Amino acid sequence: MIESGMAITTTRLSMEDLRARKPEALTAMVNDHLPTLLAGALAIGLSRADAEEVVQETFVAFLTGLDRFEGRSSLRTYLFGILYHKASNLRAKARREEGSDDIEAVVGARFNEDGMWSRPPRGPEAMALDAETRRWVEKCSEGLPDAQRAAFFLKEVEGETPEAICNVLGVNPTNLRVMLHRARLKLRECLELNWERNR
Amino acid sequence: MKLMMAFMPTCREVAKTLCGDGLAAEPWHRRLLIRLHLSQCDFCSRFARQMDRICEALKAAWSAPQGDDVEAFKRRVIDRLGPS
Repeated sequence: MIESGMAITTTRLSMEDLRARKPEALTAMVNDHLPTLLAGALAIGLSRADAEEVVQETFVAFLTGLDRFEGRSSLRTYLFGILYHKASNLRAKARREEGSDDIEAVVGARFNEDGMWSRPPRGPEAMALDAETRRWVEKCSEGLPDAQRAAFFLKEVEGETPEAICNVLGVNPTNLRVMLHRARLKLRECLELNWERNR
Repeated sequence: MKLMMAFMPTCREVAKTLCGDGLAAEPWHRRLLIRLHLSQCDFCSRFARQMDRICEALKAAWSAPQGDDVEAFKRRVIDRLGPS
């Protein structure tokens, strides 16, 4: 049994120590990255049980193929890349991404030719950040494709750079912009619909 | 003022920025014009507030889980990864 809870930072992680599966290195890696990976797996839409399984498999796959990690991305981003692909395979319904549409087409439906609102945003003037709003936003997020959820998680929660996100998801910067754009618009429209139904 | 209005972004352009890379990614003069637009346009300012709230709500919903069950899960993973 290895004692966990040791506060060792990633910067002290040595690939040699990980290769040798030294307890201190394994503990540091798991302590540093497991919570984020678990949050990411849940954000993509996995159940808690599936999320835990995928996180474990991610660490196993990383250690098995340790030599493939060249350090060009951060360890966290690299691990998230493994996790994302495993999660997508598990869900087996990695819904096809509509990344080829351009942003103009995504936004366009609500504006007239002069660029003014033809369908103005509805909903409360000041949307409270209460438990109900959070619940609805989370519920609406379930309707997003896996890749959009992953992109949104990496961008908004983890604050990753567009370059890192593109590497993880295997998309180009234009696709990423469209994905994020779509995700935000879909979430807002879903909330608007919910607000209309419940007012 | 007339010149500034000529360069004022449309609602569509403002919404596109808010849903895209955000104000921070815009050059300063563009940020200024978008802020000015937001101060004058109720629809766009409502849209902006709602987008902010959605991001905040998802950040809260998707934050890293904590607690005893996560610590127990960490221990299980470390045990599994360790030398057999």
